[in-house]
Amino acid sequence: MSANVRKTSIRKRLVGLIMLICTVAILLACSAFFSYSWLNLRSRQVRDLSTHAALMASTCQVALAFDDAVDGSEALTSLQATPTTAYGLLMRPDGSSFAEYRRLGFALSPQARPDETGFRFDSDWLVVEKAILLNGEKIGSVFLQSDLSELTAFYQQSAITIFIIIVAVLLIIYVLTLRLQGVISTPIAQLAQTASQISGAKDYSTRAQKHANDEIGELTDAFNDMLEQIEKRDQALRQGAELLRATFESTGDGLLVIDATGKIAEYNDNFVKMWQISEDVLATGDINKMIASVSREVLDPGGFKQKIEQLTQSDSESIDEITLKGDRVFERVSCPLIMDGRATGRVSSFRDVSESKKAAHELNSLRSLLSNVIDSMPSIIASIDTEHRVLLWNREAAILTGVSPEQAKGRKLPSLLPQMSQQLERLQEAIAQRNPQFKRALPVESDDQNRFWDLTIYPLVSNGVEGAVVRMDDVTERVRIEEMMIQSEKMLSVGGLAAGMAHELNNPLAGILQNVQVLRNRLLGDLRANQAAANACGIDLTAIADYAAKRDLPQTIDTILSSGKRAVRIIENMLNFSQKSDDHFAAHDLAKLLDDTLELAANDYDMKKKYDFRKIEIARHYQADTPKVMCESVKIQQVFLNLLKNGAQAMTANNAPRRARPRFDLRVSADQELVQVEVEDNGVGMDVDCAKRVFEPFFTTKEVGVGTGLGLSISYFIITENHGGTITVETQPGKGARFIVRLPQRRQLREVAS
Amino acid sequence: MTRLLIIDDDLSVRQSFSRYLTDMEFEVVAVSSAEEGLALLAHESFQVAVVDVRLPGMDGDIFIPQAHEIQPLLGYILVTGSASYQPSASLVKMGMQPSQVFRKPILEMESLVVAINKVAARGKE
Ligand SMILES: Nc1ncnc2c1ncn2[C@@H]1O[C@H](COP(=O)(O)OP(=O)(O)OP(=O)(O)O)[C@@H](O)[C@H]1O
Ligand SMILES: [Mg+2]
Repeated sequence: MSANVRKTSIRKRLVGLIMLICTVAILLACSAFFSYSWLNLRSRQVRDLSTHAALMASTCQVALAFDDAVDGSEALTSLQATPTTAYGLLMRPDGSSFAEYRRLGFALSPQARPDETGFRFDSDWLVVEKAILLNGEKIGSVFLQSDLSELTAFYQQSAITIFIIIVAVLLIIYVLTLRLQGVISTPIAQLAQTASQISGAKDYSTRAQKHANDEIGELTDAFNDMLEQIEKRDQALRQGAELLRATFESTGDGLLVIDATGKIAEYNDNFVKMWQISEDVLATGDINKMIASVSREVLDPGGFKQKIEQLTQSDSESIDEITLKGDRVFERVSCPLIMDGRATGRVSSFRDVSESKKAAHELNSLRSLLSNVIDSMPSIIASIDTEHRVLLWNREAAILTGVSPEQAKGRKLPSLLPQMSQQLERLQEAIAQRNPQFKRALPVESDDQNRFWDLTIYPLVSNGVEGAVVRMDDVTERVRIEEMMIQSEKMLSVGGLAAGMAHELNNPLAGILQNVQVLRNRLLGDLRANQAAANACGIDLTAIADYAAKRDLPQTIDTILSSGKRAVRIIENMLNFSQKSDDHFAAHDLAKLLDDTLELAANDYDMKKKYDFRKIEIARHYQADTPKVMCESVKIQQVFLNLLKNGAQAMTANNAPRRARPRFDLRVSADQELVQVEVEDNGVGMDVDCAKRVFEPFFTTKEVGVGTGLGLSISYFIITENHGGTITVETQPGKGARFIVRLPQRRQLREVAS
Repeated sequence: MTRLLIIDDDLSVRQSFSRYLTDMEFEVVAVSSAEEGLALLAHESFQVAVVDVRLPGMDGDIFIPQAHEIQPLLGYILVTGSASYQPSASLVKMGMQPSQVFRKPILEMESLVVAINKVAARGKE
């Protein structure tokens, strides 16, 4: 509306202004012209009349000089030629009339005399007086009066005409102005309208129309230019705002903006979701209500509130973590909002770091677990690259070599582990062919003694890391224990009697048996000392012999001796077992070895206490003339003894099948290469799981103290490792067990530790 | 009469030797350690020593070379409780025969007498 008012006023003012200017101009022009012509006319009138009077004066000079009135009157009559001269008078110097002329019908009115200038104007007339001189002496004067009424009337007429013309011209100007003011006012008005439109609708894409290349055109251009800039800026601003909003919303973090007065200014959806703030609380915009609702989630609401207070007062950045109920953790980054160098609030962003914290924690603990695992291994573990340079070096490696992991990294493995310098081919093979390499009980000479190492080289092909993991175990103890186990098991298997004890038994046995021989000699022998003693006692030696024979003393003595011999034999057997057998390979008949072992078992005192071998039926199925086998008799006997002992135990066990009499079926057979020995019992037998594990060291189903669980594992070791044979079992629960030993006839050495 | 020196730490064994061999009309002196034996050898002469291998203090097979220093003509019989005993290299060098080594218990004492006589005869040559 106001724009409209202004708009019309511009137009009106423009028109008014133009009209005013035109009017003033015309009026000025007209009046100037008018005045000029008026003055001009008057001066001409004065000149004309003066000339006329001078002429008249000269004409009438004579008449006056001669006082010829007629002549004077006559001269005056010539005034008729000029109709405007209405009255003429010749006066004597005293002012009396000399001659007079009066136009017809002219009513003489009392006239004023001209002043010193020689003329005078009245409204309707002009009077001129001219002295008539003769020889410098005034002889009279001429007085002429011009009638101006016609002139005045003409001027009046003209003024009216001019006025009408002026009015007409002004009218025309008005119409033209009205028409043409648009040239100037329209662009301005349009500009104004555009401006008002823009300010009303805020649509900066509107453009003002340019009409001409004048200043208004320039103004329009400038305006449009400005508009364009505004539009661009506006767009940029809008884009910026949209970008900001999109950013605000698209971030995974929850964002909250608090203004300087402590009111909630902005927040994004994530913020609401993270903190689970209800719409009602948000709608209030009241920070305190929000804190109250939020702190219910927080583990330590007091500290939480305190921290917020602290943050509100501070104008520095802060990063901290908020622990929530349910193991959740938010990371809070709070920054002051600075505008034009003044803090105008705070922006806080919240990030749920529970998962990443958990993951990081898990990763950490996994990593430390892994390194703990690797470090806790009692093996040397080193990983190397293709150049054999160390990447990883565990604690055991550090302890055994005295080279710390830091020192070891990057150094060549063989320089750190001399054991490896002989194994470069294996390393190469493992890395190049990606073939895991194993070497059992690798003997390595170290300064004081031979040690044995189990070596595993495992190629690495993961994640582009090429190289290998080398694991080395010092198995010297194991190798020794394996040997010791065989040794100690031997002693245990012959009735639990130690070899040393067997040796020790020989002395008391000697005390018995040798003294029995002394006794026999002194009772029955033909000795001089016997004779002397008999004589001294007064007894006849033959009588003593008779008595002894009657009382069966020689037989009794012989029984003692033969029992003693048996004892000696048992001890010999036991001592046999106790011998450390280093490589006593010889050709042996397995059937005989089996029989010998059976006899030994039957005589085993310890075994006899538990199960009487004589009560066990023994069925021999021996193929005739089986070839001899290269073996260590003692060790093979030990195996047989173990099998027989286990069988006997299985058959006399409480849960053994009672129907049948305990019975061993012993078989010996041979083919081209192998000799096979079977020891079959009809005892309790075993289920599949048991049968699978019988050869494992320390696997036993017997009570503590009864079985060590070593018997079969030692047997397995002897047969497979020492003799290159096989030992297997066929069994079913309640159906007895059959152990099958197969030995190659010719010796096939299987290396144990070299 | 042949003089025998018996060295064995086991009393009953020592007694069985000295009684049996005395009955066989040897002159027998029995002691329980190699050290006592060496001391005796310094003063008295013997033809044959019957020595247990395992003794408290000095062992039998250490005693023999030292006794040989004192009485070079002395003959020896070794008696041992160990089935696996083998005479040491120095004893073999001294001319020790398997027939001079006896396993305890000695079941045929006559064989011991035969061996002693053989060794004593060698010393007399
Ligand atoms: N003939 C058999 N019948 C049934 N079970 C058997 C037989 N032989 C072995 N076993 C089973 O195998 C287990 C392992 O036997 P092994 O000889 O290794 O040890 P052990 O006999 O228990 O102990 P040790 O040999 O020291 O007396 C036995 O505990 C037993 O359960
Ligand atoms: Mg067993």
